[in-house]
Formats: sequence, C-alpha cells, structure tokens
Amino acid sequence: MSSAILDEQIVRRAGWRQSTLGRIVGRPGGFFGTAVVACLLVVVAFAGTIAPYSAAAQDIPARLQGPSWHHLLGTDQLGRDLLSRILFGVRIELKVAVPAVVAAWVFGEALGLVAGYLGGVVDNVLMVVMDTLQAFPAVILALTLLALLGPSLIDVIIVIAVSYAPGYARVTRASVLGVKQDTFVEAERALGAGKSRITFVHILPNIMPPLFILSAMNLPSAIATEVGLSFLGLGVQPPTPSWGVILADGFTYVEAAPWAVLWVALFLMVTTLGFTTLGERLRDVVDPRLAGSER
Amino acid sequence: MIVYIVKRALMAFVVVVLLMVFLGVLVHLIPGDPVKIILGQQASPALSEQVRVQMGLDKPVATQVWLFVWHALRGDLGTDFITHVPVLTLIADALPHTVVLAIAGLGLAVVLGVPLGVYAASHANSLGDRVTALLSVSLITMPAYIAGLLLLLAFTVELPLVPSIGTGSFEHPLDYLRHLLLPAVALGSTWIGYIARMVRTSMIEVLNSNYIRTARAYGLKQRTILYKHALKNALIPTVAVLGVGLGHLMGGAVLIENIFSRSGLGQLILGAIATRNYPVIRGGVLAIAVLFVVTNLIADLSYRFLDPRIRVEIGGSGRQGGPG
Amino acid sequence: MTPGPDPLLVVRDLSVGYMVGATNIAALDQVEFDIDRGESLGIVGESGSGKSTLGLTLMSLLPRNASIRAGAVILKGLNLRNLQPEDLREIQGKEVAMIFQDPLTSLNPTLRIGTQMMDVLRAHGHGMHQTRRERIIRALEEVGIPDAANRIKRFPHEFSGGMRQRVMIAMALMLEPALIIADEPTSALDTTLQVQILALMKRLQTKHGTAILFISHDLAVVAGVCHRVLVMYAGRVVEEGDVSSVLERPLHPYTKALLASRPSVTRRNERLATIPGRVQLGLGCAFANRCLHAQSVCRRQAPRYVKVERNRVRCHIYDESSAYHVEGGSPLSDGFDV
Repeated sequence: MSSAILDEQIVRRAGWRQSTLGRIVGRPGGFFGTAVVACLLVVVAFAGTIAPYSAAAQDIPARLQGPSWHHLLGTDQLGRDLLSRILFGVRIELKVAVPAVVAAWVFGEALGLVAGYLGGVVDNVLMVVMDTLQAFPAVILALTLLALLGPSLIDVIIVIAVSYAPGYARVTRASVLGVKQDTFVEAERALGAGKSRITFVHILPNIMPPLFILSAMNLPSAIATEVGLSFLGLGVQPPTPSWGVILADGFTYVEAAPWAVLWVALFLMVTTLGFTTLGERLRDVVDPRLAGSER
Repeated sequence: MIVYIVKRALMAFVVVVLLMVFLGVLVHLIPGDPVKIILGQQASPALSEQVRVQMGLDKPVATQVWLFVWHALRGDLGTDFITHVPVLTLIADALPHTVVLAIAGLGLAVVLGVPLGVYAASHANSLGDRVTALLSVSLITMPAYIAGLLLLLAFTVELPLVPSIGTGSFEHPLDYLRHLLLPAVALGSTWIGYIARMVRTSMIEVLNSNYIRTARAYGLKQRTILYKHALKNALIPTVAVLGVGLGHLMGGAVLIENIFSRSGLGQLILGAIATRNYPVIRGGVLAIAVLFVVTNLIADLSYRFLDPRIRVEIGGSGRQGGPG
Repeated sequence: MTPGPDPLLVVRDLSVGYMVGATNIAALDQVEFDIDRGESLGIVGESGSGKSTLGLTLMSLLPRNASIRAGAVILKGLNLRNLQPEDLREIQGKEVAMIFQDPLTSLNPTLRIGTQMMDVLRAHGHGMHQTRRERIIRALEEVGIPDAANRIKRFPHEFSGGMRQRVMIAMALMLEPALIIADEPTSALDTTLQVQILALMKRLQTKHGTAILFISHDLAVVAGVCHRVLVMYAGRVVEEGDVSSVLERPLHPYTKALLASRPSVTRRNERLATIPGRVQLGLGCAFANRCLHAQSVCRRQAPRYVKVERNRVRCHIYDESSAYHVEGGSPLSDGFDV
C-alpha cells in the first residue's frame, strides 16, 4: 500500500504550529539545518549590504591573495573579493535551484496525476520513461541540450527540472492509485460526478508534505548540479558569480592560489548538509514512513 | 531464468533504439534552422552547405531519423566535422577509459563502503559507529567533482605524489593505474558514504532477524555470521540502489575527466561542444546512453540473481513446497 | 521432585530482566527446576509468562538489553553464567540446541539448506566435507525428508512449512545434543502437521535419548509429549509435577483456570470460560488480582514454592506456614469443572 498517503491528521499536524516547529528545530540535525537555511535566506535578501565589495569590483594588484583583513577569504585572478562573490553567488544558486525544483514539482505532479488517472498503457509508458529519466545523469542530459541551445540560466533550470520530475511523478501517482480505490465507491454514490473534485480535495493536500520534503532534499542536489554545469562552462557564464564559475576560475589558478576552490567546496558542503539535515528532520517529524529510497 | 534475461535484453534494445530516434530528431525539435543551431549563427555559407549535405539535413525529417537509426545500428555514427575521422573510432578510443574509471570508482566505493557499513552495524551506537556516520555524511555531501578538486589540490599541487593530468596508456599498466588512482577515488568518494550508510541500515535489520538468531544458537563465529549469513541478505537492497547509482557515477565521470584531463567520453563530448562538432556530440551522448542502459540491465539482473527467492520465481530450479 | 541424583540441567533461583529505556522489566523471577537426561519437560504459560525468555536464557541467546540478574544455570555441571563467549559458542548446538517457532523466518533465505547445516557442523569440528555431507543427509532422512541428497541444494522457501520444521529438527539433532529446547515448534503449523511433528519428536527422543524442554501455550500438546510439566505465570513457576497429576488434579488456581478454559468437544452451548483480569506484577502473588481464592496476604506477600506430595506449587493455599490460613478461609472446594 502506498506510504505516500497520509492521514488527514498528519497533514493538519504539519501546519505551522509552535509544537511542530519546536520538534523540527529541537534536535541538533533540525536546528543546524534550519540555521543554515535561515542564513542562506538572509544572504539572499541582504547580500548587497553584507558583502564588503561588489561581485565585480576588480583590483588587479591584489589578485590571487590569500585571506587577509581586507579580503576575508582572499581574492581571485582579477582581484575580486572572494567572500563577496560567493555571497552574491548564493542568489544565483537559489535562483537556479528553486525554480528548477518548483518546475520539477509542478511538471512531475501533473505527470503523476495523468499516469495515475489514465492507468493502462499510458501509465506503463510514462513510468518506464520516468524510471529511465530519473536514473539518467542530469549532467549528460544537460550536455546534449546545452550543446545545442547554448549555455544559459533557463536551459539549466529546464534540464534540472526534467531530471527531478520523475520523483514527484511517482509519489503523486501512488497517491492517485490509492485514492482511486476509495473514490470509485464514492463516485458511484455521487452519480459519477465530482470525481475530479474528490481528487483535488483529497489527493493534493495529502501529497503536499511528502513532496515538500522531497523538494528540500532535491535542492542541494540541484545546486550541486548547477555548480557542476557552470564549472564546465555550460551554465551561467562568467563574470556572473555562480559558485561553479568561481570554482572554474579557482581551478585554473589553483596552483597559485587554491583558496577559491577550498571556500566554494566548504560553502557547497555546508549548504548541502544544511538542506539535507533539515529535510530529514522534516521527514521524521511529518511521517517517518517516508524514509526509504531517496530522490 | 533465460527467458527473463532475453526479455529484459529486448526491452533494453528497444530503449536504445528509442534513444537513437530521440537523438536523431533532436536538432529538429529546436526552433530554427538546424544548420545554424549546430554551427552557430556565424557559420560561413560554404561550411553550412557542406554540413547540410553531410548530415542529410536537406532530406525530410522522417527520412533523416530513419537513416540515422539505420546507420547507428550498424555502427556508423557519422564523421567528425573537422578531422573526418569516423565518430565510432573516436568513441571506441574514448569509451574504455570512461568505463574503467566508472568501474574503478564504484569498485573502490564498494570495497571501502561495505566493510565500513558492516563495522558500523556490528558496533551500533558505539563511538566507532558515530565516527563512521560522521564520515559517511561528509562524503555524501561532497559531490564527486569537489572531491576531485580537493584531492588534486592535496596530492598534486601541495604534495606531488601522483600525476595530476593525463591518462597514461594501457600498454603501461602501472603508469595507467597511477593516473587512475585519484580520479577513481574522487568519483567513488560520495558513494563510499552512501554505501556505508545503506549497508549499515540493512545489516542492523538483518542482524535482528530470526535466522541470524538461529545462526547464533548454533554457536557460529561472529565473522561467519556477519559476512556469510548476514551480508548476503543485507546487500540485496543495496545492489538495487547501486543500479541507479551507476547513472550518477557516469555523470560524475564527465566532470572528473575534465578536472584530471583524462581521456574518455566526457572529454570527447566536451571538446566537441567547444568546437561545435555535432556528430561527435551526438555519437558520444548515444554511447553514454547505451552504456547506461547496459549497466542498468546488468545491475537489475544481478540483483535478481542475488535473491534466491526471485531467482526461483522466474523459473529456476526448485519446486515450491513438497509433501508436508 | 522426580529428577534423579545427577540431573542434566539444574536451574536455581533464576531471575532475568530486560532494560527498556531506563526501566527494568522482570521477565523471570526465582525460576527453579531440574531436567534429567532423556527426560522431557514441558513449560506451559500464556504470552508474557516468560517461557520464551527461559528458552533463550538456557541457550545463552538473550538480546543485548536483557541479562541474568541472579541465579544459576548449570548444564552438565558447568555454570553457564561463568563461561566465556567462546566456551558458550562451543556448547550452543552441541550440548543444547534449539528449535524455533517459525521455521520460515528461522532459516536463512539466501543460503541453501545444505550450506546452513554444513556451517553448523563446521563450527563444531567434525571432520571432512564428505563425512559432514553424509551426516547431514542422514539427519534429513531421519526426520522424514525424501530425496535428501538433492534437497540439500534447495533454499528454505522451496520447502513447505512442515518440511521446514523437520529441517530445523534435523539441524538440532545433528550434533547429538544432550538437551533440545523446542519453543512452540508446532504453533505455526496446522493440526495434522502438528500431530506428525510431535510424533516425530517423540520417536527421535526415545531413539537418541535426548532431553527435551518443550515450551508451549497449549497444555494438551505438552501433555502428549512430556513426562513432567512446569506452569509459568508472570515470570514465575507456579506449579510443577508430572503431566498426569497436573492435568487431573491441578493445584494452583491458575492451572485450574487454564484447564477450565479449554473448549470442550462434548459440552456444547456453553460460554467459553476465560480468566478475567490481566497480569499484574508487584509484591505479592502475581495471580492475586485474578484469583478467586485470594486473600489479603496474597496481595502482600509472595507465596513460597512448596512441595505437595510429588509436585510443587507456588501458592499460599498449600503453604501451611502461610498467613493465609490464619486470616480465614480454608482450602477450598474446586470452583471449576474440568
């Protein structure tokens, strides 16, 4: 039986009441995750104020320096402050990752509804495609499309969304299949009308929590994928300070000044850890049954 | 069992053909003149014409796709725009290195991750277990390319121990291995963490089972119980996930090849993208996709082979039950 | 007590507890009995009576959160509590073996039957591969598994429930242990199979002279197989005696209630008798809150384990020195029909 179907109770409990929030933040994992995400959001909102320099301000004489009082994390090959670039980079990362994940959610959920409802051949075909797509590495998919379309932000978002959609599709489909069995009975009674209404009233609220948690777990992967793509030159282009671009620059000059690589690595890992621990804590609070296959 | 293998192989073949169709039709899915898309807006008319003819872009779309699939199935993937070397040759040169890298990476992950997971499970909640958990989590949060960059930094820039770039050749195995070491470790690093965690969870569950209790009731040694009686059962769900992991691994291989300047499909494709060498891009992606389908097939079959219950269901040796 | 001068197994004052979180839950309390060589002793009790824990304790198979708090378990003169893990492992399977309740989950699904049995032999020495193989085949044939030489290559799920239990019995007998502990060996089987397996066990016991500790919730099953029986309630032994006397003249109120609650084929249209109330632990007799003959002393003071003719009972009623007799009431009529 599908474990994606939650009680009405659990759905209501997942509302933002104090006790639930407390449970999430109470444990070290949840606390750390929430703290990281909160910091990231603060940076997104206030990067301009927090960052000591602009992301583009060059200072050639000060190039490729290590950490110092003037430049807390050092400088890159054009003398730009690494800390500032990384902070502005948070915006880029989330600007790519969040829409990508949201798009995956919407697209995936739609596909899941279709597959679950229509059943039969359509369902089988869709599921085979979904399975293949889900396991197919996003980078390869990106290579193909971006080779033709040319590197750009939108294309990266599309590629990541396509890669992650199957996860949402599967959860939605399971929910539809489960409710379909109950709905038939109701539908017979309700003269066959209102079936779609029942779907919207029962299915969608029920899958919100697990899909939300799935998104929390997908975000760090999406960010890592974007960084990888930009690193290869297939995503955001320099001088936009995507972490991947900073990483690529850092790599070129790694023998002279390894700092860029180290700092991006650190930020990326902390971000990943933050979202992942928060996601796991959310999952444990909302419905521990969801623990199982990831992604 | 044989019937099942054939069925799965057939399905895999169909998927490959579908992929070929997809790649054949791809350039037409994008709005605009295919030649301009391939060569960019600045291409000279002469080159454009040459490409148009060479790729058969003047023919109707359906014919083009059919021709592409037909040729592809016979191994003809077109030729490099610039050097006119057959794409298949380029792929044949690059493919082995990528395969070796992926296998080495996964192999390392298994060799290191499984014992780590077994150790954590048999010493659950001890200090060692917690340390292992910390290690696993750190490895999981580190994408392969980050691991690659950090390793590169540590072992070649700061302490030049192994070569940082290049592949070496098969003729000099030792040298090849030296070049393989860091990339393989980088590629496998994330998976060491994943595998350790999964094996731990799986093993703990298995160690609580009734049949392990039976093994203990007969005084079997802890080592026998762990590695012979428990591990086989614990690995079954792990292998299932490994199949998915192979895909990820290949995505990571592309980046790793780039970082370490290793020859392989990833480098081939990236190089072709830079020079807008479409046949090579298309051929390379197809090669990776086929590789992917094949490894998934192998993973699926070995998963079913490992679990005797499924093996028998599919039509192997036993009878179900017998006289009571 | 019936056991002879040199019993195989001596259990004295055995207390076992589980730690759940920070709480200690007593599973066994002051358990005491002997088993002679070749004798079969039944342990009867409901779920939670501690009978399974008793089996696990004797096999040194207690989970990590449980331990022996007090008492001694002496097998062939050796106190199991004093032994090192390596020594215990030598005993497990060789001197005392266990047959579990659910043979499907008790056999490793990914290993062939032959492999599992081979591992048992290998763990205890026993010569070369060929000798071991023959021994396994002989054991399987003895329990009635046909075509044993081929069957050893099969996996557990390829056998039916009854056959699997026979395999477990074969495994237990292979090393010729002095004692076999059978924990509800037939509870997972249907009645026809039950009869077959029980007959098999009796036959093998006589042939090999093995002692059997037969754990069951079903008094009738125990009656068919065992010489003597122990009745357990809430972790304590409440009655002990040979099967016929316990069945015909039960002493302890719980035993009487147990016997009375069996549905009868001959008397139809009667309400099934149950024992009202639930198990309650505390200072006094554990059965006090459900006992029709309870007095206030029963709730205050734990009864002693006293001899009554050739049996033993843990009940104030039969304890002449108990305050039970001072406070009023006298040994009573049977309120129950058997």
